[in-house]
Amino acid sequence: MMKKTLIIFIFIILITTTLAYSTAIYVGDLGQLGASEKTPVAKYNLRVYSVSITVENNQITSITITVASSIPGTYNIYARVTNGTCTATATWTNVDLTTTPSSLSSSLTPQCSYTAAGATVEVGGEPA
Amino acid sequence: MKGRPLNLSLLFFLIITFIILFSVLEAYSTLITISEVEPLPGRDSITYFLSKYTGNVGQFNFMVETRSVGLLITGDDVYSAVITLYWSVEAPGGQDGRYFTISVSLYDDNRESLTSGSVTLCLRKGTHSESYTIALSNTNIDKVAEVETSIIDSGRWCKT
Repeated sequence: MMKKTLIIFIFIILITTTLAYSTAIYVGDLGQLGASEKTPVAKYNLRVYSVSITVENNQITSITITVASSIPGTYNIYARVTNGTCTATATWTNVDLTTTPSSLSSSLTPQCSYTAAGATVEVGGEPA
Repeated sequence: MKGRPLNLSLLFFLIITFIILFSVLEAYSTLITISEVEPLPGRDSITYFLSKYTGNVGQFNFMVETRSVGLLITGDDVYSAVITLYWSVEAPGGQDGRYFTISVSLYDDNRESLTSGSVTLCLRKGTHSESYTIALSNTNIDKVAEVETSIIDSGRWCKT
């Protein structure tokens, strides 16, 4: 009798926990989970709305980007310009991003040549 | 009160049950801990390719550069791209410039095309810089991993 009670009790705990956990995930991905509403688990998506380079004497001297994040917060942002074997990186630290785009500008060192077929600009970031 | 000792299968069942229970709670508490530190990465970078074309026909040289690309947004959707071109085009007498086709393509993480658009322009001879808008079909910006421009010489002179 005691064994049966124990088994039923464990089953109830297991099923309840599993249901609660799976429901929490189902309700709306990880964004719905968290210790409290103040600290929700959320996925940030960096949004880069524009990239603009300044070219002087065929050298890429500076870059301006317009960037936002789906989750407001403080981020460290970088822009990496590559042309052939030359790579120049601009960084911005502790940038407050919201869903409204912000414009960031920086000079580039070294100054890469802008030659055919073009230049690759990778813009990225992570929470500060 | 004296009960019978637990048999082996029941003991095994209890151990497995506790392991499962412990794993679930551990996973959940880890999630809570992560949430207190920082948001998780969804998309943490986007790559733009700014193209440059150089070519010539006989003594006439062409150079066309994409110097900026901007995405126009409504809500979370991209609906157009604005590109700024800088060019230097030489053309024979009687011709005003040369046709070039400028394209913008958006790709996702798997390099699958999300949308693209193009415009054929008569780039007048001389050195100039201008901006143009290229229409795209609505695409959620969070799916965009790459924005690529391309410049193609149409092979025709133009008159304005």
